[in-house]
Amino acid sequence: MDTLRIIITIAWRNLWRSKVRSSVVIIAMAMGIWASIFLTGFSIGMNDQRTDSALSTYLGFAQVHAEGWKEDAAVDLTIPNVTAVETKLEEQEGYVAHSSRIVQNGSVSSSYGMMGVQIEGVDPATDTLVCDLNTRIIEGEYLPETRRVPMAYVGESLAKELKLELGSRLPIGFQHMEGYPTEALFRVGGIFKTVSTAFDKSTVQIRKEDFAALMGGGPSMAHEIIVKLDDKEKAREYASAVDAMLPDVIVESWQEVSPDLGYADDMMAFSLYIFIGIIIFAITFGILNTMLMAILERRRELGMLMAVGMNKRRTFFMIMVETLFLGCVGAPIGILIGHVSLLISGKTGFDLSAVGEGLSAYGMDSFIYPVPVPGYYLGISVIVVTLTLLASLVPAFRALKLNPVEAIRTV
Amino acid sequence: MLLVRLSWRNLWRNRRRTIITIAAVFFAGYAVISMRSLQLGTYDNMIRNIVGSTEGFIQVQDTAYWNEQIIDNGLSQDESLYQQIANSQGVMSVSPRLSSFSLASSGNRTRVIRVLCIDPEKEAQLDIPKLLQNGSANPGDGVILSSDLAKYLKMGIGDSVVLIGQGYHGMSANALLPIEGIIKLPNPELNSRLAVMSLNTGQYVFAADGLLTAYAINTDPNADLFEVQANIKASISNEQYAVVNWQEMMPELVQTIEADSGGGKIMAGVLYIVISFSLFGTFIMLAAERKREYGMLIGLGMRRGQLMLMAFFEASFMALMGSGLAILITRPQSLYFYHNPIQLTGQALDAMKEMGMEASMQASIDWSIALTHGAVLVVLTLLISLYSVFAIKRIEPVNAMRS
Repeated sequence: MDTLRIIITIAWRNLWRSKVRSSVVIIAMAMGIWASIFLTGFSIGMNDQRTDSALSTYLGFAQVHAEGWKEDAAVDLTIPNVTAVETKLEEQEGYVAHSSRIVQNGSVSSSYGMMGVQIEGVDPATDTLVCDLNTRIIEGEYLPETRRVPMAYVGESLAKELKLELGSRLPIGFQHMEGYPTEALFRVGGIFKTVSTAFDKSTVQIRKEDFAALMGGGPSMAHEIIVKLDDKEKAREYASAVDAMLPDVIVESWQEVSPDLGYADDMMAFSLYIFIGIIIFAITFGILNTMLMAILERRRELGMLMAVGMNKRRTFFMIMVETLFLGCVGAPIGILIGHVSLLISGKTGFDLSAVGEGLSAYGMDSFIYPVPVPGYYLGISVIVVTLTLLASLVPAFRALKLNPVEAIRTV
Repeated sequence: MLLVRLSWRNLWRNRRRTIITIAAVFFAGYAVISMRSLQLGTYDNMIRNIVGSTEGFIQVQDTAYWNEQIIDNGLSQDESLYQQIANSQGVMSVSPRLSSFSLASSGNRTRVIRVLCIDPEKEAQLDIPKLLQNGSANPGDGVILSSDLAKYLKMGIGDSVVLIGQGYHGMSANALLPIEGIIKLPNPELNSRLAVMSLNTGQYVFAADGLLTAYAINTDPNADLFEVQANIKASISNEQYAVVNWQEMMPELVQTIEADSGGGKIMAGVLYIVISFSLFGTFIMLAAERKREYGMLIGLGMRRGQLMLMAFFEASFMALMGSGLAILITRPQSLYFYHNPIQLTGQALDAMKEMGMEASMQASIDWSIALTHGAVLVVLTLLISLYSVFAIKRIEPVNAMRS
């Protein structure tokens, strides 16, 4: 017990005797932990942002359709008993707002060509509570009420493709409730731009009452109800609860409606692990090299200790204890820097426009807001400190092989 | 010169120290090059999969068509033009195509679709046999439909689909064609609205005899896109034709990659910070370890300037060797992951693969990645080594020798 205490004391004093060496190892460890924490928070923030923007521009947190919609989105497959469904949606916990829509695949054309698009009949009063597409406007007005030719809200890339301007005539082709194809004239009333060019190119919104009248349906007809919730993580729970209460309709969370958002999550997680792996690899070998160099530098000192009677086992133990001490200091510092840097950059945003040229020019959000990820801190620190301990094994074994006499006399 | 030789010998006098420093540089280079190679290779993979199987890397179109993509602006099918393109350096394959839009209809169901007319023998982009789900890979006198479209129209092999469209110079392009095959395309958007027919049938349906909208070109995987584009331009040398590359044709893909690579660059930046610190640590310890030796040399009368120069030479040798080693060692690794991409696994990713999407990370074998980062690393190492060089200035020989 005494020897143990003595060795620990020696190790502790060694650390303070050579402050430069100790701080180099502490900084290396803290850097490793900082880098891993920061990258995790950064990637998760980036992904959250992508999901949030998809949820808020078009997806909603949960969607309601009539049974069989997924297999065959037929025009006459409207949601039965809309008011009853709406009441159930509102009663369930987590509900914030909802909006019903008429959705159909159709076409828009100009003299420059014809494009297949999704036509959405929305009610501006309720839809703006769920989606924020109205805030993505770059020109014109969001679905104004008019007594003359009805107005349409189109994406910027669609407008570019068909060379549309505000006020351009826009014939929209769709299917009547009876099944025959029909066409109606609209004018471009507003142009929007979201982060997704694909969405902009394939979406046209018009007023729901216009669409219902043209299709020959009643004013309350709806193919789809999109719901906004207070937390996107609760969507699954919410959807399955409401779904169980309503046998005629299918209620799905955003993960079920758009599985590719989930795939993007998985894909990111996987590549993140690989890249953090590479960083931890670099850290480990950086520490290994520093420790090896430190042992080279300490040859005389260690030789002296061994000459005055410290045996090999104790020398080895001493080096391990030193590393452990360093880890105990380095890990909290790394976590602290990591957390603070995430907090700060999460507030100010990380301007990617410097590295991802032209992002903002294309309407991409060039500011990334990293989020603090306390759940990962412990795991990352344990990995880095363990790897440092493992890295110190090699130099510790090296030290054992020192010949005291030679070690003291080397230049 | 004497100092160079002296520093070279110094390196091998204490091999262990030299090897440790070289290893520090090597591991740093290894990490950076591996990371960038995987990041950029994944984009290459994505581009090859998306571009190489749809529009081709380069297209030759009529200048008017490039500005306004309607069939009236097509170019005439011309064997000598075809030969000129095919014989340009870096061109792997040339496929003549006629592309237009039409309404596809059956019963009560109608959808706007894209009609792509290809020469089945020359077509290199759309790999129909590989995508085929059902029926024949050769459209013959009929059409091949994408699977979601066939599902929407509730049609299968042997049924006939009605196409209503507009042909050359406003001719009506209506046809009733038998479905010969059904293909499944990885891109869900395209999979819901594509019909493929043979060039002969297409030219007949659209009343566009001898007319094409583009020659789609796939380039040699090792050739530089812009060079090939310039080669083709030079060999055609006709102002009537526009030679456009995929970056001009598909700006969305370029945007996606740019958006994503922003994050990749941040990661590489963080990695650089990390390796700078570990290199710094190594050099600090190096300076501490050699304090006695330097003190002795100064005591013997070597001038500090000479000593610093010598230390700098040593650092240069070690930096060059370390990053050279990193470039060499990452090469076989990149080649391996180029030929055997890392397959991403997981429940959702399996589903993704079922949809035909690529869920793998591939390494890039572009030498420029290794060379650029190797060079950056040498400069970085030299900058960091200045710490140990300037440490010589502060050495007090007597104390240093006695420490």
